[in-house]
Amino acid sequence: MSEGARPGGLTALAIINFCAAAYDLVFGTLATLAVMLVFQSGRVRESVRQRGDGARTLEMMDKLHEHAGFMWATAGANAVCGVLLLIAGIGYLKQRRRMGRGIGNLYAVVSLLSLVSLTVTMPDIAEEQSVLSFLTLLVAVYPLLTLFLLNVTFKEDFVN
Amino acid sequence: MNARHVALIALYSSRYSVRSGIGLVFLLAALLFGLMVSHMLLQPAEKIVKKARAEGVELTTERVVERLKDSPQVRSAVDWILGSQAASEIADDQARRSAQEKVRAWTAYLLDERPALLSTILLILFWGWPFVASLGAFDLFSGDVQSRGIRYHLMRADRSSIYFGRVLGAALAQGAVLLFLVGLITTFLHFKLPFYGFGAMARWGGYGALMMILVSLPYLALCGWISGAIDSPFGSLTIITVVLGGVPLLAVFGEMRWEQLGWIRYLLPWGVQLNLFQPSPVQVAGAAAACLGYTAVFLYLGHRHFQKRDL
Repeated sequence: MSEGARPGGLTALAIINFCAAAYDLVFGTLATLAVMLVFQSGRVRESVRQRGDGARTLEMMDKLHEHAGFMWATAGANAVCGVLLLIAGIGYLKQRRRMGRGIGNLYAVVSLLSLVSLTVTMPDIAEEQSVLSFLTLLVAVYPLLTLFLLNVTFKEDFVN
Repeated sequence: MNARHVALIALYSSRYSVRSGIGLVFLLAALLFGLMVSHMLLQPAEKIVKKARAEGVELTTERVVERLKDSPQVRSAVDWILGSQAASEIADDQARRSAQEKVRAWTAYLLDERPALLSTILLILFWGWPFVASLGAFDLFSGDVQSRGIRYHLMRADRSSIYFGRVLGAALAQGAVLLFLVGLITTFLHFKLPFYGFGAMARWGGYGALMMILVSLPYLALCGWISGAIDSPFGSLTIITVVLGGVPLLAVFGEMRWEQLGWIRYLLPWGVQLNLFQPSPVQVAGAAAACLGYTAVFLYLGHRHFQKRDL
């Protein structure tokens, strides 16, 4: 099969990969890092305390401080997944066996492992998130679908 | 028309639907929509339980779900979805009271006699599904007609076989996705809310999935008609979305000005589809017959146009 015969689904998968990578890198990594840096900053803490009406915010900051390791791990996992998604997306477009199928499979496995480990070790930060919820399924849908598509539907399409 | 060709085209078009970008986008949209709706409905109950436990109050999800479904806000919201507004506008006193009583009985059937949370999820999915279904079917023909690729098919099969085969293939693919989605939601809900019992959940979930497949048939036939008539996939998607959303909007806003305009909603199954969840089997059968009737009409119109048009 030539490169020109790339199925529409593989192109769509690549585009979805780029969108998911952007989401992981911007919201999952940069936003988490920004929140951690702001909340762990002594100056911000002091100004909230001085204002006198930020008891809830201070409580939240304390919790985040307490679970800083978990937050850093989340940001790290999102960064790794974001980069893998980006590389795999380019691989899908070029129909490369290693860069597309290989890295795509690696992304799916890393994403599922990080989801399981983060879900199991998730601290009770906001007192509202259940350990296993529909949201967990929602996050697991894309890596599971990626595994299925790369190894069943588009198995023969990585020709380069 | 050749039945073997129809079956072959349907089988191949459903099996390979995910290979096209549109099938993949539909699959993702369907899963995300279904799981998001379920998450949004289950999360408040879990939130209340967690908060209560943090405050030292022993509360179960069962109690919370019971309280939520018995709250006047939830009851009136479901009443409203099922048509309490229309019932309250009936001029005759006795007829109005009777209609309101029927709506209340219907609400009680969905919330008390059946798993309430699953009923609410199914009601919301019912409203959104026509739009999701159209995402998977707007390009049944238009892309191939535009690129002239359909001419290669015409050398091997007649127009009728291609038309009915592709619509049937889309129905098979969407049916499979729906069964998987509702199965996933029902199973997960059972693990979260075991007090309903798996039998009751599975029966209601299975019924809901079948009704959703039934209600998606006329919308697929409509997509086939529009997609077969318009050469551009983007144009087809735009027109389908405008028609699907425009009909109920025009009916709702139109009847504020002139009551008879409300009948516009019967141009599509919007006006009858909720009756598939009625407690009365006669009304369910009537709604099912109406859905099949709409399907037959849209298929006939689409097929007639597709037969005559220049490909």
